[in-house]
Amino acid sequence: MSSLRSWILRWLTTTNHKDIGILYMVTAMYFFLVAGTLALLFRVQLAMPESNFLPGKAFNQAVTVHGLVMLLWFLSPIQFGLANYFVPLQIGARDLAFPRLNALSYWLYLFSGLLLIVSFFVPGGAVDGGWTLYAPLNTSAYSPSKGFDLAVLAIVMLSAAITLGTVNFMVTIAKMRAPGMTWDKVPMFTWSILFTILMMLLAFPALAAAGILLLLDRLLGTTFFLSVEGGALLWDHLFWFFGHPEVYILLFPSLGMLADIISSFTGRPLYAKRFVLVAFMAATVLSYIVWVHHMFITGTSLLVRKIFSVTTALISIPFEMATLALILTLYKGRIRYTSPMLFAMAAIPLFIIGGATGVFNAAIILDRAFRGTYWVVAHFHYIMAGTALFAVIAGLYYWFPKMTGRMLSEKLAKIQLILAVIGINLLYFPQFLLIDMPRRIYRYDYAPEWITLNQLSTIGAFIFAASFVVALIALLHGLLRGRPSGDNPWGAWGLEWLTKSPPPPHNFDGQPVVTKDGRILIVPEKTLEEQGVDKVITGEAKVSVTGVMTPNGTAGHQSPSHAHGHGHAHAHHGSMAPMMLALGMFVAFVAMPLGNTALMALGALLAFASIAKWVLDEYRGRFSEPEPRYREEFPFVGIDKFKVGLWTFIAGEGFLFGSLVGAYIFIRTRSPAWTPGIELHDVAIGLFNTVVLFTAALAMGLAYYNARVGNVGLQRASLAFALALGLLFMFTKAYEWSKFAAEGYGLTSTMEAQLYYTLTGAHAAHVLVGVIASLYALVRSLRRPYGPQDARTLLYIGIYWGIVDIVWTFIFPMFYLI
Amino acid sequence: MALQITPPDELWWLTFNQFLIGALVLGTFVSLVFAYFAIRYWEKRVKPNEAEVVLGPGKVAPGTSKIGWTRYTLVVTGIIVTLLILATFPRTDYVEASPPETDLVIWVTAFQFGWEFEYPNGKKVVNTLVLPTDTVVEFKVVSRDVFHAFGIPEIKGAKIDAIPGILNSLWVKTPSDPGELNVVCYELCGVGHSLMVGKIKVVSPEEFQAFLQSS
Ligand code: HEM
Ligand SMILES: [Cu+2]
Ligand SMILES: [Cu+2]
Repeated sequence: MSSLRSWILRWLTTTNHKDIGILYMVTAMYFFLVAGTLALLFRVQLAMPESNFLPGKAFNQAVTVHGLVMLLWFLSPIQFGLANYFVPLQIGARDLAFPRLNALSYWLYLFSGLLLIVSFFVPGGAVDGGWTLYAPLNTSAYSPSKGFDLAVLAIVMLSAAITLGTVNFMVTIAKMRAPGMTWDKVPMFTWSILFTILMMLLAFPALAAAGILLLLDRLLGTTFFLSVEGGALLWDHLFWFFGHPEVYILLFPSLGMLADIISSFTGRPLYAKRFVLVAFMAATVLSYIVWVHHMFITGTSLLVRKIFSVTTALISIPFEMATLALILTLYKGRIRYTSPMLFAMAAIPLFIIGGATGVFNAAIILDRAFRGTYWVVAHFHYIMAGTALFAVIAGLYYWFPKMTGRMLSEKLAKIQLILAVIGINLLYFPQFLLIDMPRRIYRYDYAPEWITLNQLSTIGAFIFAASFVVALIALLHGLLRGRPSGDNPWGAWGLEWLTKSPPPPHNFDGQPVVTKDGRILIVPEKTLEEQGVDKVITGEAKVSVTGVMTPNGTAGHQSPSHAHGHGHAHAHHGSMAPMMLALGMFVAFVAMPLGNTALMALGALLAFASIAKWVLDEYRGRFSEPEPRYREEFPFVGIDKFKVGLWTFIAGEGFLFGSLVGAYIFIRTRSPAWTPGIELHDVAIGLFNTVVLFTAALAMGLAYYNARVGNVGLQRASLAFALALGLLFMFTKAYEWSKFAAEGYGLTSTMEAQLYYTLTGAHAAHVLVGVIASLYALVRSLRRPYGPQDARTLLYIGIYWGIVDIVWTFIFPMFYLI
Repeated sequence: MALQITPPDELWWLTFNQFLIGALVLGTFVSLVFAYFAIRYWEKRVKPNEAEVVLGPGKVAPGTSKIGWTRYTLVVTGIIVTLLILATFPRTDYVEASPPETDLVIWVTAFQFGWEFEYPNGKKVVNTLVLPTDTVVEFKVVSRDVFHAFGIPEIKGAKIDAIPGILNSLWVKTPSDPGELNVVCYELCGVGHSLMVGKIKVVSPEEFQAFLQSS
C-alpha cells in the first residue's frame, strides 16, 4: 500500500525530465484515443449521410474537438514528450534547465486538455465552431455554450504551458550541451526542437492574444470579434498568424526524428546537414509571412495575396530540400530495415504527396476551388497523420528500448505498418477526389456521387485505427514481455545510446565529452578536471573512458562509482507545487463560465498557495539548480542561464503585446471615426505614471548597483522605493480607470474603451508581477541582503521592469496622445 | 456578345492540369530515386565495399561533409515550383479582376442558414436562383450574421467568402445548356451548415426574362 502511495506521489511530484517525458507521452496517447474515437464516429456518419448517427451539433462538436485535440493536445505534446526525454540525453545534459518549470508545463498541458474534455458535460456542450474557431460564430451571440468558453480557456492555458516550455528548451539547448558538442554536431532532432520553439515563441502568444480577446468578448461583453471593425478578419489574421507556424511546429520535430533515425540505420550522416539547417532557419523565418494563404478568398487585396502566394512557394523550398536530403542520405549507406526504419521510410512518400498538393494550394487561382473542401483535408492529413505521425511512431519504436530496457516486437511492428499504410491511403486518397465536397458537413443529399468515396474513406479510417490497436498491443507486449534490449540494440550513433537502458536519474555515469573528430567519451568528472576539457576535446589528453562500446553494442560501465560526486549528483527535486498550481487553475477555469464564485475562489486560492509555496522553496534555497559549466558558444558566451531564460520569456511577452497592438492597429484603421486619445484621457495622469514607471526601473537598477558594491542600507531603500513606485502606478491606474468609467466610458462603451481597458489592463497585470517580484526581493533583502554573488537576481527584476516600461512607451501614445 | 470571354473554370482546369503534370513528373522522379536507393542500398544487396558507413556507436554526426556543389541540386525542385506559381499570375489577374463585360449582377446575402438573392430589378428570392444560359454573372456577396462561404461546386473556382461587413465579388459564366447547379456553403457557420444548400436553375434567356417579370 505504501509503495503504491509512494509510486503515485513520485509521478505527481517528479521534476525529472525523463519522468515528465513519459507523462507527456502517456497523456498524449490518451488524448489520441479520445480524438481518434471522435474521428471514427464522424466517419461513420459520413459513410451513411442519410442516417442520424451523429447529426447536427454533435457532428460539429466531434470534428471540432477532434481537430483541436489532435493538433494541440496530441501531436505536439507527444513530440515534446520525446524531446523532454531525449534532448537532454542527445546533448549530454543532466536535465532540462528548469525542472520545476518543466513539471509546471506538463501539468498545465494535462489540465488544459481535461478542461476541453470536461466541456462535453457542461450546459451547451463542447465547442463546435471548427478547430479554427472562426469569428463571429465564436462569440457568445452565436455560440452561447459554456463548453465553448472552456475550450478558449483551455487554449489560453495551453499557450502558457508552451511558452514556459520554450523557455526551458531554449536555455537547455543553448547552455547545457556537453563539452565538444558544437552547434555543428548537435543531432537533427535537437536542432528541430530548437527551430520549433523559436516558432512557438512567436506563434503561441498570438493565439493567446486571440484567446484573451475572445474571452473578454464572451465573458465580459466586449465586441472585438463581433464588430465590423474587428470581426471575422481580425480573428483570421490573429489565428492564422499562429496557425501557419503551428503546422510547421507540428512537422519540424518529426523531420528531425526522421533524419536521426535514417542516419542510424544507414550509417550515413544527413546529406548536406549544414545546408539543410540553413534551409530550416529560412523556413522558421518565412513561416511568419505566409499566413494569408489561408485567406485567399476573403477578399484581401490581390497584391497582398500575390505576395503571400510567392512566400508560400518559397517556403516550400526548404521542405523539398529536406525531403531530397533524407533520400540522398540513403546513398552509399547500408540500410537495415528495422521497425523504426520501416516507419521512417514510409513517412517519405507520404510527405511527397502532402507536399506536392500543398504547392497546388499555394496558387491563388487553384485555391479558389480547394478552400474549405476535402482536398485541403487530404493535403494536411497526408502530412500530419502521415509524415508527422509516422515519424513519431518511428521515434517511439527507436527509443522505446532506451526508455524501458526492452524491445518491441518486430513482427507486430510490421503488421502495424502494413495496416497503417493501407489505412491512411484508403482514408485520405479518396478525399483528394472529393475536391468539391465542403468540410464539416454531415449530409450531402445534393451529391450522391460522393457517397462511395466517403465510404472508402471510412473503411480506410477503420483500417488505420486497427493499426493503432496493434500498436497498443505491441506496446503492452513490449512493456511486459519484451526481450531485454541492452544499452544500444540498434548499434545506433549518438549520446543517448551510451548510457544504460533506462538511463539512471543523472543520465550518464560521468561527463560526456564530444571530441573534435566526433567520438563520444564518457569521462569521469575528476579526469576531466585534471586533464582540462579542451585537451580532452582535441584528443591530446589520455583519458580512461567509462562509456566504451563492446562488440555486441552494449556500453560497458566500468566505474559507476563516479556517478555521484563533484556536485553533479542528481538532487531529488520532487515538488507538489507545479501540479497544485495547474489544478488550482483548472478548478477556477471550470467554475468561471459557470459563474460559480465559490469554486472559483477555491481554485484561485489553491493556485496562489502553490505559487507561495514555490516562492518559499526558492527563498529557502531548497532547490539549487547548478549553473551549467561547460558549453559556451556563440551567441550565448558569458550569458548565464537565467538571462537566456528571461530574454526568451520576454520575447514571448513581447509578441503577446505585439499581437494586441496589432489588433489595435487593425481595428483603428478600419474604424470610420476615432476620437484622439488626447481628447479622452488625462495626459497629465498618463505622464505622471510614465515617470513613476521609469523611476521604478531606475530604483531597481540602483538596488542592483548597491548589492554589487555591498551597501545594504541603500540596497533596501532602493528596493522599498521601487516597490512603492510600483504600487503608486497601480493606484493611479485604478483611479484613472474608475474616473473614466464614471464618465460613461465603461469597458463595453466604445471600441476605443475596449482596447484601452484591455491593453492597459494587460500591462497593469505585468506591473503587478513586477510589484510582487520587488516585494519578494525586499523581504529577502531584509532577512538576507543580496551580495555581489547573487545580485543578478535584482538585475533580472530590473530588466523585467525595463521591459514593462518599454511596453508602456508604446501604450502611452496609443491611448493618451494620438 | 462582342468580347471573347474565357470562363474562369476553364482557366482553372488548364492550371490544374499543368500543376498535375508537373507534380506527377517531379513526384514520380523523386519517388523512383527513393525506391531505387531503398532497394539498392539494402544491407542484403549492397556489396561490402560499396557502403561508406561512417556513423555508428560512440559517434556523433559531423556538421560538414565533403559533397561540394551537388548540394545545390537540392533547390532545383523548389525553383521549378516557384516558377510554376509565378506563371499562374496572369490568369489569376484575369479571374480576380471584374469581368470584362457583365450581363447580370446578383446580390447574394448569406444567413444562418440559407441564401438570399437579389436581381437588378429588386426581385428577391431565397435559396433558388434562376439564371440564363451562357451569361457572365457577377455575384456581390455579403453576410447577414456569421462567416459563410458562397460556392458553386459544379464550377471550379466559383467560391468566395461571405463575411459580415465585407463586400466580396465573384464572376462566372453560366453553362450553355440549361440545367441545375448547387449553391453550397464552404465555411462552418453553425448547426445548420450542412443544410445550407441552394439551387441555381439555368434556363434559356426567354424563360429567364419571363421569370424576372413574374412576381
Ligand atoms: C510544401 C509545403 C506546403 C505548402 C505550399 C502548403 C500550402 C498550404 C495552403 C496554401 C493551405 C491553405 C489551403 C486552403 O485552406 O485553401 C494549406 C492548408 C493547410 N496546410 Fe499546408 N502547405 C504545405 C505544407 C504543410 C505542412 C508541412 C503542414 C503540416 C505539418 C501543412 C498543414 C496544413 C493545414 C493544417 C492546413 C489547413 C488548415 C485548415 O484550414 O484547417 N501544410 N497548406
Ligand atoms: Cu499555412
Ligand atoms: Cu456554412
